Amino acid sequence: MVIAEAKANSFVVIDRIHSGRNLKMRLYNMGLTPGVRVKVISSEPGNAIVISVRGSRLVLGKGISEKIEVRNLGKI
Amino acid sequence: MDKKIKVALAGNPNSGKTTLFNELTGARHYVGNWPGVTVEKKEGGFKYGEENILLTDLPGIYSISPYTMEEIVTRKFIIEEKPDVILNIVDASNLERNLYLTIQLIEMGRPVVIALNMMDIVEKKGIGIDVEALSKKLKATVVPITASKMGNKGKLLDAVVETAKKSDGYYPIEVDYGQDIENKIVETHKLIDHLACLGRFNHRWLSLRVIEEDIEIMNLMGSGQKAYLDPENSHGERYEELIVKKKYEFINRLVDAVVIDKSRDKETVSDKIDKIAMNRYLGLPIFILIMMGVFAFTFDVVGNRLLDLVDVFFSEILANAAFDWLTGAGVSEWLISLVVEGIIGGVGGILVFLPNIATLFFAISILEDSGYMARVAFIMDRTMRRIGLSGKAFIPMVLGFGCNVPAIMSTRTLENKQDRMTAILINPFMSCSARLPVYTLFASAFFPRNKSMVVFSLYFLGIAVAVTVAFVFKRTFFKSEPIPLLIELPPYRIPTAKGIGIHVWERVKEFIVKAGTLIFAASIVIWFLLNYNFAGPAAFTDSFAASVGKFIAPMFTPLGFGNWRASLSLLTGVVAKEIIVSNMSIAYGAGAGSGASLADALSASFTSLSAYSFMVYVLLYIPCIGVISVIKKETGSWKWTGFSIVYQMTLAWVIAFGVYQIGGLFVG
Repeated sequence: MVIAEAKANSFVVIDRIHSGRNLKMRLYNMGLTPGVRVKVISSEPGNAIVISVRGSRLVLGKGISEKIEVRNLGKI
Repeated sequence: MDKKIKVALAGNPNSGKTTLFNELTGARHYVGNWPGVTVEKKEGGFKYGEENILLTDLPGIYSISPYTMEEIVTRKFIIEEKPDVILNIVDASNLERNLYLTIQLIEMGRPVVIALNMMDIVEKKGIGIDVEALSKKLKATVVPITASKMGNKGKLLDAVVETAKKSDGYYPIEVDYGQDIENKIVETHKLIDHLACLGRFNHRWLSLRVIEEDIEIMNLMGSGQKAYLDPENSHGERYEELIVKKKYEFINRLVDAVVIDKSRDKETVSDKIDKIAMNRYLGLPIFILIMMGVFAFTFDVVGNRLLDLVDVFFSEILANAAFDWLTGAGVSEWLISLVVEGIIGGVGGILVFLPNIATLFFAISILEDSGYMARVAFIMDRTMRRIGLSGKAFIPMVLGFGCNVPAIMSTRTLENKQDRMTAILINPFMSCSARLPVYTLFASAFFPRNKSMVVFSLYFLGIAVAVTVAFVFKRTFFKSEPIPLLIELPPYRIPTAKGIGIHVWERVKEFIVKAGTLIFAASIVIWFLLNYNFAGPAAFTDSFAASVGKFIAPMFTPLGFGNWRASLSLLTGVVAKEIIVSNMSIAYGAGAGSGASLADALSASFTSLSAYSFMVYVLLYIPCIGVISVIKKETGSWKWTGFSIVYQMTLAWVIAFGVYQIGGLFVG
């Protein structure tokens, strides 16, 4: 699934980023690399999401959050 | 099927093994003793779907060494009974120690399924475990459970059954013990391979035990084999100990990779504040309230009170004192006029507004330094998208209320060129602090009871025009998909007095310098142009300035202020917007910039409506030189700089025209 679909207060791991080189590198530079764990702090449909990654908080607009493929972390 | 799946349940003491055993077997289990020892043996059989499962509870152990009865019994069971699956219960809140046993169990060669217990405690502690990664690295299915609740019972038993069925193809992971020991393993294997009594053991496991000089294994081999290997390496370290160390190194790396320290992601105070500040419903209203508060604070509360004080100082105290002193000193009249009316009038007329400006910058500094500005980008993102820009483009707009020069420079954070160009070109519509003196002056003079409302309406008009123009630009000249928002939210900080002080002082200093140089010079020039013409000293209405003003004035008649003084002021406003007021102070000869009498003088040339239309024109028309040069610098293009001048002049004229003419219909 993409991170736009993740629920608020859940943890995910980034699998892949589906975008052109520019955006991909910008995201990598801000810490969003494959394998990194991300906490989704808030997520409202159709809006930007707020995440926590490597200790800092980022806002991801819709266009970006739909390009980041993630998987949920195994939880009960 | 009659065939039973034999499952051995193994784990540390206090890992919840008993609870799990009871949950799986229900009341149907029997308790006995392991043969020959006083260790309790529990066994239970149950059906799961189509399968019959026989679950043997092994004693709680920390490792499988041959030192205690419990360990020996466990080892024996696994080697002799060869269970289809070893169900290893692991306490997730004590992962490292528990995994030590897990590794040992895996090395024995029977398939292992891990029940990761105490997940509820782990959650509470704020720790997360990447179960999938753990599974992969151990090559063993890991099922998270909370033994007391057993929500995942089905999942656990499915894993057991599935693993049991595939047990023939199972190859356990191998911990890397380092070159030295790995070589020894190969060596040892060659040495003992032929011994039939050792045939049923997993080879690698066996070799490791021989290297360790495991008592039980050594006994099996017979005393004669002890001479085979040296228990110590070349540094005098015992292999037995090295093997333990290597196991723990492996476990450390494993745990690092799969355990998530959520403390980095734990909710901070900033997060708590953001829950409200960036709330879907509350966010925008809160922001609007804050902005209104900023304006109220700047204009009403602080600004105007200080303004009156400064005004009185300049227009009465200083002006009169200078006049008296200079007259007393016998200074010639024209010089007195230059100093009192020109300089004190022009510069003082502007310094009067310093308190307002300082307060505005103070408020903006707080918004920036506290970290709130980043939230503003998020809050406004949705709205900005409707005009084709991202929330980030909103920040330069807010900064523009202070001064358009740094605001336009801040558009550098916009990655998309089209968005950037748009943001730059609409920024001058965000009414900067330099225009404030004009509004304050006219609003006080013509709308004394609705001062704030009037000023506010102008700011609002500026925003409305900016937004509309942006909308048009993004669909025409600067068409592009808006860049999706990607912005960091720094933690909220309480702005330091020092930080704010520095920001405000910088701006105030700039303003005073501007006043002391540009405006000072301009005031002198304007004074001269107003008091002289080709024939020498002249009355205002016959001066150079008047000629220029009268020449331009007709352009403004349809806007309601076709008089030469107003036109002249607008012209001087190109240098710096503050000069509009300075100019008027001098041109109306209104006793050293006193707000009050200037207001009276203005009434002669303006009506309320034309005053408003004048303010609208000032709001929208050409930006000052400072802004023009920054536009050129940031866009890198004379074409667009020229365009910004032309389109602003046109827009200003048209809108002011509309205001005056349409307003005229209502006012009559």
